[in-house]
Amino acid sequence: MRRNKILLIFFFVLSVFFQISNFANRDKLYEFGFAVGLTEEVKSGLDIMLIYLLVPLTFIVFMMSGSIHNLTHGYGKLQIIRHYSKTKLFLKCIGKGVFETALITIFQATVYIPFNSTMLSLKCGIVQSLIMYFLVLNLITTLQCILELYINPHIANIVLFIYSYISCYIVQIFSVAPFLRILLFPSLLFGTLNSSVAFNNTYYLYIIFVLLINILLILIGIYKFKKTDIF
Amino acid sequence: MVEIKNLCKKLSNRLVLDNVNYNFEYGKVYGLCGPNGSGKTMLLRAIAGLIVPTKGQVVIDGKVLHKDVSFPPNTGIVIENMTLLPQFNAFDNLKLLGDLRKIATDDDIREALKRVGLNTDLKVRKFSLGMKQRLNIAQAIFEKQNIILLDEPTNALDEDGVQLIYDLIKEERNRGALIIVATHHEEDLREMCDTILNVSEGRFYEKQTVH
Repeated sequence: MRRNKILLIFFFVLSVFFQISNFANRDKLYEFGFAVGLTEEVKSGLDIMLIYLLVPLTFIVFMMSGSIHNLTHGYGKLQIIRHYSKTKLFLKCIGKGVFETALITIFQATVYIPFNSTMLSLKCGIVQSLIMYFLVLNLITTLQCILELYINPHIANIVLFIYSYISCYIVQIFSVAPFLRILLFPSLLFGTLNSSVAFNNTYYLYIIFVLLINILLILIGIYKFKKTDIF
Repeated sequence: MVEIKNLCKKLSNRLVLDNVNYNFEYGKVYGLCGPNGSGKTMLLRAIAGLIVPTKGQVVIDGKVLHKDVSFPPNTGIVIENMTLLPQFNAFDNLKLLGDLRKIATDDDIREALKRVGLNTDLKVRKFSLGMKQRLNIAQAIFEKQNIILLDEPTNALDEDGVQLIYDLIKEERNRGALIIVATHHEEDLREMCDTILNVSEGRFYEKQTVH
């Protein structure tokens, strides 16, 4: 189990450098590009560029997956009966996810610092983009936890990655209305797509939306987890 | 006391527990006897808080499961599909579980392993089926649990192992624990239990007092 985790972390780190090496010295990515995203001009070859951008996300979601599923299967049963409250246990898993996504965001930002000079510079919106990246990453990992109560964690991983990819693709290509961007929420990961670079009022609306959906998902998760039978 | 009140559990439109009512008292060993699929294991799961009743309640020491608490305090369980971590030895496995509640000392763990006859540093992946079963039983008793739920505890055990489990169950009863054993081997139950409940199609229809 620990070996798998180490291997996943290794591949995640590798994917971050893979991302940087494919973006550095190209004028298609802003500084802190993992959170700011592609420049608006990127339309041709977008499919490949998005793969570069989203590859770390697959490892992040994969690393964080299984936390709920593992509690209800095999060894998890021995752990779960040693707790008194399912609600507290669920919130503990979510809290662990928040901590891990914060660490991941800080790690990615730190790794990007030496390479930022080779990318397009931004005058504003970096901090806002990083905050939004962290919040949406959190939302995606919470969604992963909820999906695990219904489907196999690996299937949930694939569903989330495809959804994230399609969302980013559609928003990058088309002029999508703000309310539609809410449906395609994984695209809000990136500052160029969530208005934090432009830094207008929709950014705050998106922040409120992401927080509300996260709270709603946690409440749904607690309800479902309490009703879930463990065999 | 564990009180089962009008307990029903429906799975895919099939009633696997059908209006069960019973009070289990501390310091006694109860046996659930019945064929496969009769509802024995499901009742153990319900008492352990693993399944949510469709109707009715499980009340443990005055606390309603899934209302006041999600899981009963200090309960040990041996049930199918519970695997300990193969990369660790027996002691480390129990130590990891013990760290969750921090009520068992290292000495408690060593004592429990001694009681089930496990004296090895081998990793669990190298254990035989019988050794795994002994370790499973050790994890159900090492925290001096008040309620011990055992599903087919003598599975995969040799004759010595079976006798060891009989003795261990009697010792736990004398300590004041409530023990519920589910098996389809009636002779096992006669050896271990104070009371035997027969289970059929989710109903508990007969009671025999053995001792």
